[in-house]
Amino acid sequence: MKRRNFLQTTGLISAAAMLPGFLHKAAGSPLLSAGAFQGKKLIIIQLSGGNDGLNTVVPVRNDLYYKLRPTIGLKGKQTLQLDSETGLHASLPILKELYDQGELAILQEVGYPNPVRSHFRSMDIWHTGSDSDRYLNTGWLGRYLDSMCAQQTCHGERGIELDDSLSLALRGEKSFGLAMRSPDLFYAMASNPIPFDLSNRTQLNQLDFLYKVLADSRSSAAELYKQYSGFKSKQQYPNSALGRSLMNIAGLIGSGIEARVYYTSLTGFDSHGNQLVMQARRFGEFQEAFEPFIKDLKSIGQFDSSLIMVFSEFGRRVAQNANNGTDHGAGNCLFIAGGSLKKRGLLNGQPNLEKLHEGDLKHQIDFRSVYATLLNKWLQADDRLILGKSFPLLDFI
Amino acid sequence: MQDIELKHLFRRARFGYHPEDLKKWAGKSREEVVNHLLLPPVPISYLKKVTDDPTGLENVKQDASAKQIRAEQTASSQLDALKKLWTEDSGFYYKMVIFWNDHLACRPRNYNEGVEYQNYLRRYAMADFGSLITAVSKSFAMMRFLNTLGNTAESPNENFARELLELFTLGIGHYTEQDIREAARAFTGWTYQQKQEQFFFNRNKHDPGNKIFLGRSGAFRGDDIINILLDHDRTSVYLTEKIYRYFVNPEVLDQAQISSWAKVYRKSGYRTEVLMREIFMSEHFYEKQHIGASIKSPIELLAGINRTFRVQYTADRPLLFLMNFLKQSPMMVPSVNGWPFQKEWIDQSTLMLRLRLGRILLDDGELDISVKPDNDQNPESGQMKSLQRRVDKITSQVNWEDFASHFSSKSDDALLTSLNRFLIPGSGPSMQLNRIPIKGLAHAEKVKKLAIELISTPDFQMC
Repeated sequence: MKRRNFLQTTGLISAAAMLPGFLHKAAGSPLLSAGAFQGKKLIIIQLSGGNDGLNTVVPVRNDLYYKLRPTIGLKGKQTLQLDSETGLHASLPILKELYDQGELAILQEVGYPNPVRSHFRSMDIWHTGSDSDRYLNTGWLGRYLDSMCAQQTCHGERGIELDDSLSLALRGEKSFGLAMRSPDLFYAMASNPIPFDLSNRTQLNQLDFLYKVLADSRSSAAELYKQYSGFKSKQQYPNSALGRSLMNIAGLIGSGIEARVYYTSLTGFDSHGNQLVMQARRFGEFQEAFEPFIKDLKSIGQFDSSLIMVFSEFGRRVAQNANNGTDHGAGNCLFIAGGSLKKRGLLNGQPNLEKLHEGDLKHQIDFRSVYATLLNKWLQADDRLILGKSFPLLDFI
Repeated sequence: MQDIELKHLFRRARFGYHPEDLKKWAGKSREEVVNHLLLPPVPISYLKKVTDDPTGLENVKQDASAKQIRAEQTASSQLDALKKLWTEDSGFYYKMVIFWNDHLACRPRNYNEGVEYQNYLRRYAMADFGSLITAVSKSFAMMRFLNTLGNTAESPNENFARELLELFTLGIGHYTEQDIREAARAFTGWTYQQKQEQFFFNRNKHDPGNKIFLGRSGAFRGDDIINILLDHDRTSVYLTEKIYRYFVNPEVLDQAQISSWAKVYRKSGYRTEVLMREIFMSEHFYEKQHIGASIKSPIELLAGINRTFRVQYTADRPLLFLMNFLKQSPMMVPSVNGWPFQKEWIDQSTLMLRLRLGRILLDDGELDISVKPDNDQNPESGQMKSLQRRVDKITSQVNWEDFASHFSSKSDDALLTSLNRFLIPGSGPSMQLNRIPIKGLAHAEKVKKLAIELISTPDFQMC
């Protein structure tokens, strides 16, 4: 007998039907609305490796900048002019376009007290929203997902990461987001019956975790796939990881999936050497993928209900190193794009290159103020509960 | 040794066991088994650089380019190294190599660049940590990866110094940013002569000034920094804790036990063999709460299935593709933080493939996943199909008659119970026999069906 038939004829029941009660998801979490999802959506793009903010939003009139960066400092003419003092990296025309249309807010010197220059630790801090000397094992968006749990029912599927694995940012205490490359792939992997009995098993911690992941996948995959209509984009996306991710995010939004948070990342910003070439290449990838994505959101009328945050785990040293690169630093720039901004453009002036802390920019804005603003004013969530304390809210939305 | 202890030891220290492994060591003392386990392979298998010589390569066409030949040689070397994990009795030695590869993580740009680094791991895996970290730090791959090569007196690069303290020896929170800057100065002048393929100290690029590092003061060079770190109380605790997570329990740490083993480790001059013997000889290692408490890494999962069933491959190239999909390409750590660990291996996609792995390897290699036919435009569907295509190419054989002969044929219930106990740590999943149609089948067929059911459970993912 063919194995496929064997599985069918033996009627080995689907895993979800046999889940122990405490893992059971309440049925009928409505993921679908008619047409595109109208609710507010937060889309986060992480530039991993520590993007050099000073060569992204460039202080083109600052002598100190050129003095500290004799070979990698970008000349005003090489940048896209934002205002008389500021230029944008030339490989990012889409951001310049959004800036000109009043659809981009730029925050500078975003960071946190006592900055850490380790990639992993600093990324953890950004993901968890913790103080730099505290360790949390849940992410700020995971806790946001937790805050939507009602009784036994959580909605991890409201946070979707387009990646092979889930970031700490989206892991909560009770719920965690879905990680997938695409709804197709996710469904293909989760849909077939794997026959075994999920009741009456040992209570080992790591094993519980596996059962929970399995249960969550099963109950979300079919639903997601059914509703994912394969929204046809008219845009041309590049065949890059970010291109595919953003195409799938547009597809999910366009087919009415009610996720509130999307997360994806672009890696390769750790420019210890040969930075000019390296950063331009990365921004080129970003540009190619981001432009059709913005066009998609606009063409389906979803740009006003979307907010896009682009961040990196730390900035880089103000002074360049011997390899025409820069080492790990602190404060950095951060972009917010969307059609509903209240304040736009360069929100807090120029970074101060004179008052450095151990060769790094001092932070002016705590990144958790940005999180608090997004949680409170955009996602209508309790920012103090999710972040554990109160941070001043900003006024860009 | 008791059956349950022996299985636990072989699962954790090696990559599982065939029924004959258990038979051979049943009734022997813990000391005898551990002595055998700790024997280094003879000879230790070192890697060779790949060339563009096509001799002996099967999958290479006549007109293949030098690049294609090198790619083919690389794949075949990676597979050879991978297969040693389950075909040889020295699984433990190579597990330590993987541990150090993960801990002293370095991602080479290509296979050849990594050969020197890998061979240091192989040479010193069970020797003293001081020799290991010194050798690895001076390998070209590591020096390039963490920018030691560009660290000069005029313009220190802190990358290596930071990771040395944060990830390799002390762990975060046990040094200051000032320590990192000072250590970076000490490592200036470290360079590498690529022609001679050897480390070289360039006095002209070195900062000879005084440095204050972890409370000590002197005109330190790189080797002095490593020695100060080895002399630091924290290093042995940090390393022992990591080994504890890897081999004893990933989540519940017994700090008193860790600190006592750390003392042994340090007193021995960081001889890893001494520490591992201490662990495997202890009562603590075999305590019930550790059994089945760890999630298998993809390599443990794959090698475990192959060792357990003595799978013979006639086409094994797609195994590399599977490992890549499961996020553990052999010898290729994703970043300086090493491979994922425990829960980090798991997300919805990887778990689904992991649960299917037994069927893929043992049962005609069918992936059994459906791809929506009308969605050819989506490049991800292409990826899925390519996974299916590659999995289709795995051809393997198991001698089920031989495997089955180790299990009782008294009753179906008894058979299920003994297979469960053999394959799965802890009490195992509850399988309802009446749902699995094995009535009337020959014994070997029954064993095959039941074993495949069992290894497709989340419980088999545990180690």
